[in-house]
Amino acid sequence: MFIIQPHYHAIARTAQDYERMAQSGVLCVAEPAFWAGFDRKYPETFIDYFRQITEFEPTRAAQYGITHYAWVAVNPKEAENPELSRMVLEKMPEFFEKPNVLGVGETGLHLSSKNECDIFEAQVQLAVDYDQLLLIHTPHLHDKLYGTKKILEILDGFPNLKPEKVWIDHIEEHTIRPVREKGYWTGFTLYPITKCTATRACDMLEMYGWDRMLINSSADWGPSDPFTLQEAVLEFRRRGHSLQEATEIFFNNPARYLGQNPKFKFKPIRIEEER
Amino acid sequence: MTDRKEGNSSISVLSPQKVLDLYYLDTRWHILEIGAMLDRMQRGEIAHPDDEASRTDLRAELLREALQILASDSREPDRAERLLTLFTKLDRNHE
Repeated sequence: MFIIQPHYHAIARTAQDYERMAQSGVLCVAEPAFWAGFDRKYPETFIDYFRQITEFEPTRAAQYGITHYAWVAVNPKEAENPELSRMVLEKMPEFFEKPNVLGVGETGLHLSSKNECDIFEAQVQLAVDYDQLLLIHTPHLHDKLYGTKKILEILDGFPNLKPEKVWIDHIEEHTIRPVREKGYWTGFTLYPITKCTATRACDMLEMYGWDRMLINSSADWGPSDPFTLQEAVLEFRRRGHSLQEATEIFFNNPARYLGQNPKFKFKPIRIEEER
Repeated sequence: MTDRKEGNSSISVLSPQKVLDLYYLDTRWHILEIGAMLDRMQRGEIAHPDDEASRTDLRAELLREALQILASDSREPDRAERLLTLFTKLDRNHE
């Protein structure tokens, strides 16, 4: 089965991931900019990071037949340094011109501080001004409920923002309803221990349907596993759902969402014959 | 305060605070999975009202009893033992 991995931090992973993903049907990954595990001090460090995910990573992925796309943003943790963040934001439009950049992401909130909210708002405005897709990170664990509400409140302040261009990620059972009601794309991140699991993601797919749903494994430098995505495919299929239905969720939906940016080349596919 | 002290045997054990530090997230995750499984059962019951088998399935009863063991106070740290003993009711040789 073909899979699109829409949230993958390649910079933190080894080539073995690419090899195994290619062997297991992954045709494409999209890499959002994120926190490196420490706070960067200089805007130039971000710029080089953006260069790495827009220039170098596509060449590494291509060795395994995988197409690599990227997003650029200042993540919420480093938004605590507003001066640095604004310097980085000034440079982001240059990266929107790169052939593999799909939009602004992952921005969002972590502890929902004033600085985080200000820099998040500035990045939403950037996405609106440059007609970019927008990938939003919601906080972890006990901070998630408040932070997600705050994010939705901030987005309400942007009447020109098109909900179909917005993907709100790391959603769980207690945050899914308001995101669905607003018409944004909903992301489940399959992550050991701290986020959603394959079984719970499949439960939510069954409860809410899969229109505007995206599943990802958010492989990064922490305890994480890109193959939780394949685990979710297996869990979904073993419940009796068809291959076409699985394809809708794990390939066609990301193709529909990411395909709103004309640079994204993959189109939804139809299984001719199910066996 | 030290993280380890001798318990009933001569082997040292972690302090309760350290246990929380080490296992809170794991346990939170396991409890969420249990909640989601029970929700899945309930959704199944609503979608399949004619499915009588699950209502008399011993496994469903055992899970309910197991949750009571988890929620109960225990004089001894013996919950895992009591849970395993409970689940032996599925053993065909159990009397």
